[in-house]
Amino acid sequence: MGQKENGKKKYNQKNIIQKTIQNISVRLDIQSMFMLVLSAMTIATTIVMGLLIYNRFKMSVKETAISNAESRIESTTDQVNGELRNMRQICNAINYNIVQEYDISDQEFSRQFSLLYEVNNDKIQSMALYDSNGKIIAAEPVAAQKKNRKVTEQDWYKSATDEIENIHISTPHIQDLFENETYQYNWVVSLSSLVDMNQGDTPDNGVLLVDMKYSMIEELLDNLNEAAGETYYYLCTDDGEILYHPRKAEIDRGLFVEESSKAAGYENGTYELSLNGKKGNVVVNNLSYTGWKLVGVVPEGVQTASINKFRYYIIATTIILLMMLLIVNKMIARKISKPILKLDESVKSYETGGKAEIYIGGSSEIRHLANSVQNSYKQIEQLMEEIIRQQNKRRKSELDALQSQINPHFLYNTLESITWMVEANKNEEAVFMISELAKLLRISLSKGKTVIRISDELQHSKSYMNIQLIRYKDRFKVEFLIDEKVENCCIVKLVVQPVLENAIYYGVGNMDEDEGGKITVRGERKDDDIFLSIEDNGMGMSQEVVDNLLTNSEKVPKHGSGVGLINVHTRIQLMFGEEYGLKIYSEPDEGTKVVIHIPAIPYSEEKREELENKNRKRERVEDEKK
Amino acid sequence: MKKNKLTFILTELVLVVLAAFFISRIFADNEPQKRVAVIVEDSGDKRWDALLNGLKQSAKNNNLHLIICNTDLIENAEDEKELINEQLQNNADAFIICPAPGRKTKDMLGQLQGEKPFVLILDDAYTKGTSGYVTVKPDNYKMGQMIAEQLIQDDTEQLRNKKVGVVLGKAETEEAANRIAGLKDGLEGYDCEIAWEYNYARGSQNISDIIASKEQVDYLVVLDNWALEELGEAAEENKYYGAQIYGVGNSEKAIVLLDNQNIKCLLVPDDYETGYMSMNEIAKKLRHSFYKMNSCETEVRIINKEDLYSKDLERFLYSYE
Amino acid sequence: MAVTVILIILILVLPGCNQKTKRIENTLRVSVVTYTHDDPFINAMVDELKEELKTWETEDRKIITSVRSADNDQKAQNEIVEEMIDAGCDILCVNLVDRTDPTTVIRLARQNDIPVIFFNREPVPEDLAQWNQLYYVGCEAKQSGEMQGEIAADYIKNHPEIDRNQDGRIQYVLLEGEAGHQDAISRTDSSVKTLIEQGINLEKLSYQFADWNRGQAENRMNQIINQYGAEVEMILSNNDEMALGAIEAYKNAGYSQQEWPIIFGIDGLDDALEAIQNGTMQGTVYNDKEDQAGEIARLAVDIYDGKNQEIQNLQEEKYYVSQYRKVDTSNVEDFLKQ
Repeated sequence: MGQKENGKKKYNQKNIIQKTIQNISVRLDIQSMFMLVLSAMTIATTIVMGLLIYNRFKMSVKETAISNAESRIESTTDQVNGELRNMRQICNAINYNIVQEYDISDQEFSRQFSLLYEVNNDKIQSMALYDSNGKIIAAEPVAAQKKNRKVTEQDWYKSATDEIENIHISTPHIQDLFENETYQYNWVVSLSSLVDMNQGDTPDNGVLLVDMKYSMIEELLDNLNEAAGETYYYLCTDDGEILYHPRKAEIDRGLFVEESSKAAGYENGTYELSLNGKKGNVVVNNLSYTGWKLVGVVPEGVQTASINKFRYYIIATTIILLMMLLIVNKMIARKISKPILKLDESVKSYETGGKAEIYIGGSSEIRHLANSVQNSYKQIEQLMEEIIRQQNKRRKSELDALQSQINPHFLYNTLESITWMVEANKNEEAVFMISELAKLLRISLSKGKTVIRISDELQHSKSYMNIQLIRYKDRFKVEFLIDEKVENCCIVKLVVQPVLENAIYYGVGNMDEDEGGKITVRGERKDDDIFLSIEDNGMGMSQEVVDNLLTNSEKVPKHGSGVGLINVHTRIQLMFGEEYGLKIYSEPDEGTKVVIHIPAIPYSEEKREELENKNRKRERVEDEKK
Repeated sequence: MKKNKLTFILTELVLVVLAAFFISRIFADNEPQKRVAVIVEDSGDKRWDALLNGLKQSAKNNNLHLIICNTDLIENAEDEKELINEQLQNNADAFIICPAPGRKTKDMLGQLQGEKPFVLILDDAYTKGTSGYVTVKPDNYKMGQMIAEQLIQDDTEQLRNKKVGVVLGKAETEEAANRIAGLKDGLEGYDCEIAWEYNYARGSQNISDIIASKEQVDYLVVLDNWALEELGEAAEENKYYGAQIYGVGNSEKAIVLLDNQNIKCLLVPDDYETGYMSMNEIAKKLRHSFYKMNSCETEVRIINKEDLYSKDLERFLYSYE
Repeated sequence: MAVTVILIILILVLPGCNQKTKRIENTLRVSVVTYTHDDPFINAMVDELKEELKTWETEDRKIITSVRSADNDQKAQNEIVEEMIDAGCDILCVNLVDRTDPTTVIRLARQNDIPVIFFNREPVPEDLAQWNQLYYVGCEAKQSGEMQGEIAADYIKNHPEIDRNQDGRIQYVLLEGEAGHQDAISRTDSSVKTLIEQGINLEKLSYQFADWNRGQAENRMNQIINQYGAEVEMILSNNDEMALGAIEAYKNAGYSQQEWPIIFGIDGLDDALEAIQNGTMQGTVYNDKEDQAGEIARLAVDIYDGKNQEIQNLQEEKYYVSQYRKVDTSNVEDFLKQ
């Protein structure tokens, strides 16, 4: 259950995102969208690049700082080692060249002793020789000893006697042996070793103490630290006890913390270390002989002025780049979207009723589109014109049809006949004529309907024939042979009468009485089809004329009715479909047969309406097709 | 379209402003360091070594420029005021001052208060109670008491019938006033007498002569560093013999004198800490001008002969380097 | 009538009022840097200088002197000079740690347009020539050596009993300041040369370096006494401190006055003058610190007042060479009074 809900949620979320994107993209015009996308990309890229470069630089500065620290430590280690070695050499020199050479009571001993001190007094604070009881034998510079100092209990003495092979080197401390008139303390590094003295015949052990001025080492490290910027260097024992540190006074007071014991645990090399909560790098180098370590600390996030400046430089460059790119983006977006926009504008103006002049420009695709649109519009214009034309034509033909329904010539003639009959007192014939005329007219109009019953149509035809018979003085005969089934079906009105008219004028109208002109009107139903045929035995026509009859309205001479067989044919087709209509068969001198083929549709009001509406639509389609 | 264009132009403008800002930051030299002037009497004297080291280290940590005023003796508030004015013209942004003796100092400093931040060190301005200014110094009253305690501790007879002579620093200083007060209160109830008090002004008569001219005492309490140094030297050169000396000393020299047993017991205020802390406070104030500076009490060590050369003391002495 | 009286009183009083409100606007700030704080001679000279400067104070011009010292470290001294300039000063008086290395000091001073008076330890002429606002006040070591030689020669000539073993030569011991030190070399060299020129025959028994230091000299002398006993007839010391140390050694050795050698020093310290007075020392050469201090003070004030052009007694417009003065039993009183 839960999963489904989750799934639903995710789906909803995704949907929401999609919808939002859609919303946004719908609201934006194409140029804005372009700009947005391009700008977003540009910003993202530039920023990423800027960050990458900055990072690289920062890393590079850090690497430089570290390698600087490494090389400085190397050289300083060498220097300090050198100093200490120098001291050891001096120790040895004293030991071998003086203490062991001469008897301690010898003048030469003192001479040499003081000479060696003189030569090295920039490095040596003092040097002294003690016997195995801690009594002083010789010292340079000559000074009074401090009272109450138990020499044999001092560290340097003890370690010298404990490890007799080596020269022992102490950590820096305050010299506590000799009186000093200057009221100052001297910091020294004591080198002490056990030596063999000669005192007369008795060899004795003594301890040689050479106090090296700590300032030698201190200055080296001070100089190192001064030149170093954020990096700093310190000296410690292998236990982590700090010997020299640029911030020693603060460390002693707990104002600063240094992780010297951690660093002291490392072998030579560069390590990452966490200092005061910040990461940093540490370069460790061992000093030889003493086990001391020289440690360089490169704090992380070294904010040197150059990094700061570089950061601003990068940011400024990024911003300027961004500015330029945005302008370029805008230009590109404009260039691309301009033709589209112009296209859009033209279309809009057309839609609001302007001319159909579409802007054609831009890339090939847009041109193609524009062209298509232009063509479409042209087509539309044309089609619209066509429609108008068609409508005009239809109106005309409707008018024509209307007109034909009320054929003036036929009307005049018939009225004339009626007048003549009235004048001739042939009232019955006049009444008959008038009522037939009335019927004819009534059905012609049919209250504006187009579809009527076949029975009504035939009545119309009969009335017409009745009138014509009188006018033609029965020169020919008419016979209606109509199937019952046919009578109640639908037919377009005024299709039979024109054919009859044709049959009269081109068929039997000119025949004499004795020629026996006859027009037969048959109506048959075959399944779903109805065939109304009008056959006459008149002159007939040639095949050529027959063909022309249904096609070319121009060639057919109009004989007054004005509607013509084409009209009938078309109307039938329009109403019922192309498979229906007129078929004409004719043989010259034999006769003509015109068959009206329509579908068998039983007449009802609904059917009539349906057909008439369908008709209208179909008419439009037909027009457009043309 | 218009909205589009507007957005575009706005964005460009914003970017231009940002770019200009950052470019200016590239070329702007690092902000000049703020300048802090330190005024103490006789600035070249060795006794200030630790103090100056503390000040220098803190100045370095806080990227401040330290100005050590060239001074000779500062006798009164007038002298000090001139020095302050000089440094104001020298573009000092803050001051660390050892107040001059006299009652006028408090008011003189009051005039400075509106202009630049300052911290008093080593001493408070001389006035009833406290001056109300920010101070970084040892508790002078407590120092007097500590000496009294030492005296009582060291003396086998609980100071019965003993006489004490007191040499003080300059008159009308909070330091001298509180130290003697502390001493007196500390000795209350004990059967000893403070035979005489003397305000020592440096450069005046020879201290040994003065003491010789005074009543002989069993213990000499010297509550001023300069007096102590001179006396100790004199003792060294065997020019003076007499009572045990208990004193307050700031300099390496004083400690050496202790070493030579010319001084029996020494009280050493941690001047390094004083310098360091005072500069720290000033730094904070200069960084955030609404920061309220806090007074600080610095540590005082008692050093006896036996304590010398303990690792602890060695470390302490390192701050004099 | 009353009005006139009042007016007169006002006229008399008003200037006084004005004077009261007149403030001291001009302050001459003199910064002095010595090479160490341990040298008693230098300390004495600086004290003199401060006093002299005080005498030049007027109502219009106050003088503030501040003194600092380096710990025998030229680099530290350079830093101190920088600090002093930073805090504001008008004239610098510098007693160099390393006389061969005044470059940083000169550069700092020049950048800030502060004239420098070097004293007692002399930079080389090429360095002083860098700028026309550099001066030197001091004296010639050679002269002191010569004078020492002269006093010694005089004394020997007047006291033939000095040559105890009557071998026609004076056996002497040399107490030298430092190996390679210009003054030490100069003094030793000229002292001995002068004696020889004056016709004294000499035999050097020993020479010792005692670092200008009384204690060390005493120790060295102890050794020498052990070695040579009463053979030593004269001690020539590069300075008074070491001479005094020698005196101590002899005091402790328990020799009788006749067995003491004659001892000569240089500097004219109070202790030495006393020793001459009570006969333990025979002569010294007075390094006229009052003269030098006075000259420095005057120079400082003149430069500050802008009267550099009028300064008369400078050689090459830079050097003031103070004259040493011989001191022996005949005139020691004069010096003690000072």
